[in-house]
Amino acid sequence: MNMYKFELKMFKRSILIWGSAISFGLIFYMMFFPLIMVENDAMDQVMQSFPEEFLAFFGMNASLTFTNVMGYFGLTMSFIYIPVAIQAALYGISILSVEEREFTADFLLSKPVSRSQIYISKFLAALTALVIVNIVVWISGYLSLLFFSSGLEVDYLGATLVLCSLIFIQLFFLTLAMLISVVVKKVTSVIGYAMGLGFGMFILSSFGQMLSLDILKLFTPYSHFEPISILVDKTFNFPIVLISVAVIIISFSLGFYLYQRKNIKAL
Amino acid sequence: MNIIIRELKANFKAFLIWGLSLVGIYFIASIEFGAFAGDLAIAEAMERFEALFTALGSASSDMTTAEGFLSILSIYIYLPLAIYSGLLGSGIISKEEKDRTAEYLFTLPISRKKVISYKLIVAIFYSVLINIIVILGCYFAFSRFDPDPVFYTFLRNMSIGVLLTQLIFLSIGVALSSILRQYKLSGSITIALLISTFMLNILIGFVDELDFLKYFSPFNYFNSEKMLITSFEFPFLLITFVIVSLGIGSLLIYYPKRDLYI
Repeated sequence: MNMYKFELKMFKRSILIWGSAISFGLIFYMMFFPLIMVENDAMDQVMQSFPEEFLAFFGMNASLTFTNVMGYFGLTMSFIYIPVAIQAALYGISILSVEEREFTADFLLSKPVSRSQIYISKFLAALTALVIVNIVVWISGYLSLLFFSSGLEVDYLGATLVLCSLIFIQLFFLTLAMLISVVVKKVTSVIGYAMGLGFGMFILSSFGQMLSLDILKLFTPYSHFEPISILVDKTFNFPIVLISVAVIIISFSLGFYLYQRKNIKAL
Repeated sequence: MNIIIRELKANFKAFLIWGLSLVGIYFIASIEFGAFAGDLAIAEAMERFEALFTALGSASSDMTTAEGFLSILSIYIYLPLAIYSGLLGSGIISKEEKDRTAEYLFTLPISRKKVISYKLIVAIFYSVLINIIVILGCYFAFSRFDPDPVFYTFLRNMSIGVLLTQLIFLSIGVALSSILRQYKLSGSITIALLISTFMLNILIGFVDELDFLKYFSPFNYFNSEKMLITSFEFPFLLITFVIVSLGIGSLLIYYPKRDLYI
């Protein structure tokens, strides 16, 4: 419990910065919807006449274009995924490796706590921090839909589903990053790993989408929880979502197992 | 000279990983491009909707030609290379303090200014090298399709455009890690700037009314549409020059006077 409290305290400023930055970004994006929807009808007609693959190349969907408030919300969310994921990856990479980098591993590991306790309480602290940010994003998502829908019908069920996928994205990057930080011998640059993970997955998913390479879509949670397709289908993309869930479970337990056996360098 | 060799070695692995994965991803893209290279049906369809594309802001992006295809995907050259340079710049300067090797390094009989100039040289060298490698990768991946001469001009222009974007973030990175007391934050702040300007750039593309914000997003200064028609606009070149010289200048002025936080 002490470890959990301590770690959470360390996250205090970071939660504040990330939470406000992400919700600011979300609201800032949504703020411009009223400007975009002016040419609504003309644009929609043109869009309908495009072939499906063609729109996919530009990340659009004929039944839900960005002139519709939900389409625009989906587009916004697909960008909001990136900072959310990077934050989770950053926490995951740093939380275990920080002890070695700051030379506090000796101190912590000589305390009468088991390594599994350390792992679990650090994981829970990071998760709590992420959930707080998550809640802030939920609130700003609903608020921006409320204020900037400019009278168009808002599909709150779809929006809720998209917002629900945030926690999966966070868990995916958190557990995978923790696993990576346990596996590599020494984490030299926390931000390098986090950016590589967050943006690398984003590039993979954009390529998968633009080029309709379905195989690439299997690897990245951004495509497992693609907002536009969730909003169109009004449900998660089922078998594929399970890949993310499996990765979360496997990397959490593998990381847990390997951390018990990791050779942690003393001073 | 020893420092240069040492730094070249220390940063080689990251360079290799970034370079190879980017080249790999563009090679995959080029395979997919083969599916609709020179497909007249798609080209025709594109032509019909040219008005729409102008409205969307991707004017001459005909994805059946190599240059059009690459220009649509090009944000994924700009973005990762800018991240690489930004992180390299902030990391190479701040890592001595982070790894607690600053005491050792700065007691050696070599001035601080020399040390950081060597580090700067290595950072710029790797930025240029990764740029060349990625562009060469695109060159070889797409030259299989016999593209127009326009493609080669586009590649050359884009290489310069990407390099200038890289230099902007590199100099922001080195400046932050020499000015900030909390050197640990320099990487995060560089990346925060990078992500927010990237997202701003997308928003500018969607909303015409925000056009005046284009001066704030380095991704907009030399974007692929401008590179396609070889337009290096003077105000943007000037801004780039100012940012880069301010960044490098503050590194060279502030770092030698810096209180080291170990």
